[in-house]
Amino acid sequence: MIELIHLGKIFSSANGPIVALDDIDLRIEDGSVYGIIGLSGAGKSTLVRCINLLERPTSGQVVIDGEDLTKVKKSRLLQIRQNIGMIFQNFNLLEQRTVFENVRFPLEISRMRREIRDKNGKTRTVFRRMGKEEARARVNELLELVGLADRARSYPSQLSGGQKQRVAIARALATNPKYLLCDEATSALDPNTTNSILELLRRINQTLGVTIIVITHEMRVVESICSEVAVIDRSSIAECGKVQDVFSFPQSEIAKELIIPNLIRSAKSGSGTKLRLVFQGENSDTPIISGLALDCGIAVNILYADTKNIDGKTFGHMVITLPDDEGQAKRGRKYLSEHGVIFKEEI
Amino acid sequence: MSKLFVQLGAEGFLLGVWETLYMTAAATAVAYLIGLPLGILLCVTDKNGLKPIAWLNKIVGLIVNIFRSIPFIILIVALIPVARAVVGTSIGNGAMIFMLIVAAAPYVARMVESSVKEVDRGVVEAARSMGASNFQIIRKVLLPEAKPSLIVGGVISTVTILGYSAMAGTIAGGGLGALAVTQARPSNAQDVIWLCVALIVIIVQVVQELGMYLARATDKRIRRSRIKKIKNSK
Repeated sequence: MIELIHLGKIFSSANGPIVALDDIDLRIEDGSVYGIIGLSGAGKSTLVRCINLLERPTSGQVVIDGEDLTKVKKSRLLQIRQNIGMIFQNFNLLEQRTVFENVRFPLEISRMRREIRDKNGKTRTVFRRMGKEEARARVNELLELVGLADRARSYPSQLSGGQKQRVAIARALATNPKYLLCDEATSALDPNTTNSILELLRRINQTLGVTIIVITHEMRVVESICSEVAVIDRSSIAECGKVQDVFSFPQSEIAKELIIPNLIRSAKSGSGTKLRLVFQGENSDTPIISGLALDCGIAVNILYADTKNIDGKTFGHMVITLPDDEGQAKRGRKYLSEHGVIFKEEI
Repeated sequence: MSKLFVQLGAEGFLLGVWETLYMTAAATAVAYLIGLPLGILLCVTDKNGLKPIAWLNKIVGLIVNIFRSIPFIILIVALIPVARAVVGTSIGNGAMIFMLIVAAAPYVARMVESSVKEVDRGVVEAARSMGASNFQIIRKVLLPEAKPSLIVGGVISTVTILGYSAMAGTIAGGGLGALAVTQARPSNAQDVIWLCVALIVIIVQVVQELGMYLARATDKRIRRSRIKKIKNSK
């Protein structure tokens, strides 16, 4: 589990201090895919770099599996980092190494925990570098996993963006990390490639049980793979929670702006009493609007409607205007409540 | 044909070529032994480097700049007593190589620094995220990734040192420079001077072409234009 406690980061610059992170509290459970979303400059990249201490926070704690990273020795920190893989927007592959050598890189620099049996038959734990043959087998296994076994001898400059990111993923997983940090990992990729990379990340989460932290400004990344999400705005967490909750009922202005921008915009147009309906899972197939018209005799005007597929469940937003007639409006609300539609008077 | 030309013969000129090559090679090799770590040090201790140490960076940078700003011909004169103390003599090829090293090492340091700084910071960050130590990053990331650029820098340094060696020949030591300046000019043997010039041009061309070929051949990036062929030199 990763816990960020009162985390703060202040950069000093020529024009005085810049607050990049302000009192961040986050808890990321093992096995989850945690999205951190925000506009550029909100501090998400700094936040993810604080998790493995590439950026040292100026206040607060980073606690991973009960160990406060801000307090450990340098050598221990390097060891902990082997348990936290990281991938980047620009892939950051070693240009002078082949795909195979890139994936082998972490194995060359790290000492692995090994149980060995000594002469007396006792087992003890040692840390040693992985042997050549074993490393080769591991690299091939990883390349198989990301579907690039046939490109082992290629150089990064000969690969497409998606392939480079796959190499980066294989490399990040080489030391069998428990966590994987993704810093805008799909932002440089086209939509199709993005989907295939997200699919790969999902598979890694589900089959290897790797906890994934995704930093992004793209909503669809969060929609398609994340189980939880934190919205970060101007250096602080605006809100966080399960993706379906945050996406159904975004509370903060920034979350609304990010998640349902068009809804907000269309709701500003038109007059009359507006209602925001939220459909989640089971009721999303019921023909509510027809029901309003046929069963209650109310003519509603749809200002906005959208459905999304999150984690296999359909959910949608709709903004409608009710007639000015009080009686009709009341009947409409009653009908909606009876049919289990969640609605909000406030947009 | 001048009298000196005949007197020197093929053997005389070959000796000049040999001395030039030998002084250049020896001075370049030792200059790199000193300049390479110095250049890495400048990079690593830079404020954006792996381990920023402002005072150390300032001091080393200052020393390098001082040596680089002294014109070589003046540096030779100034170094004569130092050469006598270190090498035991202020004339001859040994003293000359010493002076070349003193002049070239700071130059090489800057060359190396600029090559290593070209390495993508993102790649360094990736290595750090994997738990690489600073030493591992230098050995396994910075130097291998900068290799093509380091080779180009090496070519430029070698050519510069070769030029210095010819200059140094005017004061002490041998080589083609000494041949042209101290022997041919007083006896007004223009043909000897021209042949020396031609030989130096040929040596520079060979070094240049060979080095560039090596740089290209070892670079695994397809976009070869990214190697800066011309760098700012003093």
